[in-house]
Amino acid sequence: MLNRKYLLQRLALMGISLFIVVTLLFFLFRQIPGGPTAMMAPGALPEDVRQQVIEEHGLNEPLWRQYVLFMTNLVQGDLGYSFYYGQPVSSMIASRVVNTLALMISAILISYTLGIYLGAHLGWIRGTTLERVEMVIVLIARSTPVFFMGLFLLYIFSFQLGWFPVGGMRSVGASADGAFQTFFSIDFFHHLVLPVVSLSLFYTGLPLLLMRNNMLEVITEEYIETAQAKGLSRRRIVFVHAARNAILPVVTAFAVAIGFSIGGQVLIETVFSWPGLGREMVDSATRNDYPMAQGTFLLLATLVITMNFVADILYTYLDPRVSVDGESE
Amino acid sequence: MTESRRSILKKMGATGVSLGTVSIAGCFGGEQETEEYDRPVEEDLPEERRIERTFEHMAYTEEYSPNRYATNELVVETVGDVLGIDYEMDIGEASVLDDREAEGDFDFFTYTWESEQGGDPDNVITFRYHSDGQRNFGGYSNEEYDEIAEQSRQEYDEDARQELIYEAQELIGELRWESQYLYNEGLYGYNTDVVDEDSVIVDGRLRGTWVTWTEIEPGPENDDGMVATNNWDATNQLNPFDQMTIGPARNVTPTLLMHDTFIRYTEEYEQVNWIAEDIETVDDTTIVVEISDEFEFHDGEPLTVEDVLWTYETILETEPAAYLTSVTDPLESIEQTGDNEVTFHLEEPYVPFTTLTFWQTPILPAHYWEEILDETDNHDTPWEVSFGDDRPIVGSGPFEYESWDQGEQFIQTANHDHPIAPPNIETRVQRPLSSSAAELEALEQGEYGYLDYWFGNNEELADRIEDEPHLGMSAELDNMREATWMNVEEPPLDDVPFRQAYHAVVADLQPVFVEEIYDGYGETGHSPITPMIEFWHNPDVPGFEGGPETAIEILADAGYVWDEDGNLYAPE
Repeated sequence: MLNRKYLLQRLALMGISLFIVVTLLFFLFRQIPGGPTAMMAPGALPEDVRQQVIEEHGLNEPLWRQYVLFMTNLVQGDLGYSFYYGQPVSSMIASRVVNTLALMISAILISYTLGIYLGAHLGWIRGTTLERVEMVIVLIARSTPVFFMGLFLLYIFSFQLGWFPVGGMRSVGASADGAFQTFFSIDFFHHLVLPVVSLSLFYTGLPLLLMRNNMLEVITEEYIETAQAKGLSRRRIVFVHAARNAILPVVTAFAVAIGFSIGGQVLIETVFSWPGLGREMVDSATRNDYPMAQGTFLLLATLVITMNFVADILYTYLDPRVSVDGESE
Repeated sequence: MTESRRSILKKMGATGVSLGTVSIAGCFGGEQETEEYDRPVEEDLPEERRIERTFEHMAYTEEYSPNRYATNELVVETVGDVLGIDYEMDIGEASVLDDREAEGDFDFFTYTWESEQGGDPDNVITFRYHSDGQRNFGGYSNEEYDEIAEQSRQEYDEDARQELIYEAQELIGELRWESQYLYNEGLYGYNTDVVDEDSVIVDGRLRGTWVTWTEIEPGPENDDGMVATNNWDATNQLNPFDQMTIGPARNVTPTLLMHDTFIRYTEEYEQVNWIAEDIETVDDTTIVVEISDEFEFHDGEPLTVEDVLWTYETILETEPAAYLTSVTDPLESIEQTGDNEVTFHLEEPYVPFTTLTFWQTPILPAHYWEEILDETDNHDTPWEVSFGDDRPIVGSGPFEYESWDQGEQFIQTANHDHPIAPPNIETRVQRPLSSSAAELEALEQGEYGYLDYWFGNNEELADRIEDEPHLGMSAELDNMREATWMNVEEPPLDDVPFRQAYHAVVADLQPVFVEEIYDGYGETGHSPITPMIEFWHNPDVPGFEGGPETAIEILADAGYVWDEDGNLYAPE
């Protein structure tokens, strides 16, 4: 049962967490050496131009006043204007975040589907030669840096064989009318394959190993023996009885992965020249583009905090022994 | 023992040094190598004369430019050895180092910078080195020089101005505010399946192919006439009032292609009239411009005197940072003096107005901008207007705005009705990739028609071009020089002989920079204006040839001495 008081407490804690994150972000980005005028032209700007640009962006105001203005705007849903792009941060984030989500959600869905299935399978066949071979493959994929895998795949399948494009999200000069044409075209899927495969090979390891380890515990439970005694098929025992109970930690990992997916995979986005939010987060911090950096990191923090909360709620549905006030029965 | 690349380069530098002046004490190799120079040594020198401080040489990361990183490494090690000073690299990101330079927080800073802007050397002569220069971050100050620089801004007679610019270069060379490493060559690769090889003309002085777009014809495998090129980064700003559309090439190139200005430059670097049919300098502060009536904006409206007036008056009234120095400061007023004629009244004589200002200032459609400014309420801040597919840029230039996917690509279509330069291709795409390896691959696969910029390894590009018959390359000396700028506000950098000695060592390394680090793509020299800007380049700027011997001699003559351990001491 959902406990209203507990929910309100959690929501209040989320609000406090976000306030702390926002405040930290505001002051931390301003401690980064360098200033936002440096990215406006190659080399330092002439002094009078620099001063004018600083005034245009309100950076000549005392820090506390900048903070108050930032918080006031934030409460009203205004993330400000990017220094670098001269566009509203919200619209810049919106255009980038869909690109990142298209990449990351594809990779995470593939990884977690495969990971759960293979993890359950490996747990069941524990001790066999097949399990050992599969485990070695999984561990290699998991321990290979994702950018290295990306570079390797890019070199083989793009540079050498020419089967896939060298980067980007669509072909040179291709333009699309609307999101559907952008994300549901052969051209887009063609560009998506290598980065998604690189990510999936890496991400599959975590749910797979979590699932396998939990399966090892679950299959020793009495209700599994009962199911076997009832003559249920192996497939039914593994995926209906055992996997459902072994899946809880994977749900948490999935929720957190979805939360972090907003930040993308900076290295993969860089290797494949993918115009996503992950690269933008790093670039905006490097460029001292404070509004953009604050906006992107705030989004990431919000999603991670929210998805953790969602995972807690999901637990109660998947395992009735866990109550919403966080205690196990 | 395996020698490091640095050791090998250092050896090469050392071979350029006159053997009579240097004795090599030990064999090179690793960190153990030592050299002894024939320096005046004194004992029991007072500690207060010792130049004890550590000099920091600001430089961008190796990833940013591997070649530049290598030149800096060599300079720091060699200069430190020869002069007997504690000298180290201070590596950082551009955003940090540029800011430190603007605040004067540096000893030495190396980067590559242009020798002219809009065909005019004023950005070197006045901006950089006049004591009130807006880019004078190193505290450069010399009365004689200031006078020459001021005269050069006011001298409309080209030959007389050339003499002044020559004098200024000589003085810069003598005072050694900067120490040149080399004049850079730009490498431009192209794919002959995509573009017709004979049509590609690169003007190194204007860095890239953008100025000669009319020459680019589709190649045999290019049916749709679409040509894509790279850039350092994705286009991020297209509002012509914004500072960033006159600075970085990712924005300057598409902006100049979408708009027209009073003048442009040919690939022979000759100034030609563009929107202006005639430019007459009536007196030192009055310039009359006759406007062509053949230009039309992309929305079909004619470009008229009203548009010229609106553009310049808006800049004067709103004072965008982008045009502070080129328009707002020198221009007093503008008025219509005929059906197709405007007259500019300057505050004081300013020669770059007819070169830099007329080349840089795009004439904007008043009717379109007024509507936008009304809608967005940005009459006082036109640089804050955002542009995108729902509000495209309208200009009159040879290419029109087609679509812009931020961070990905910017597409422009040809304006075949352009009165002077209708493009031969149909579509131009500017699309960056995140590594030079990917860029090279994209060129080979035909995704790119040509590379407007190459930041990767020169040898890598040249080798690939040689291996692939459908690729070609042009290497041109451009308008840039790689150099080290010094902050002359602190001793001993405030002392001219110290800086001359510094350059003597660097000058001796120049052949190594060009031949070994840049694989032959560059030239040596001592003037801040590159030989590509032939009219303004003074070839007789003092270079203090002679290497370490000359450096030591200059310092010794100025009263510097060394102790037995090779540490430098200031004159009494």
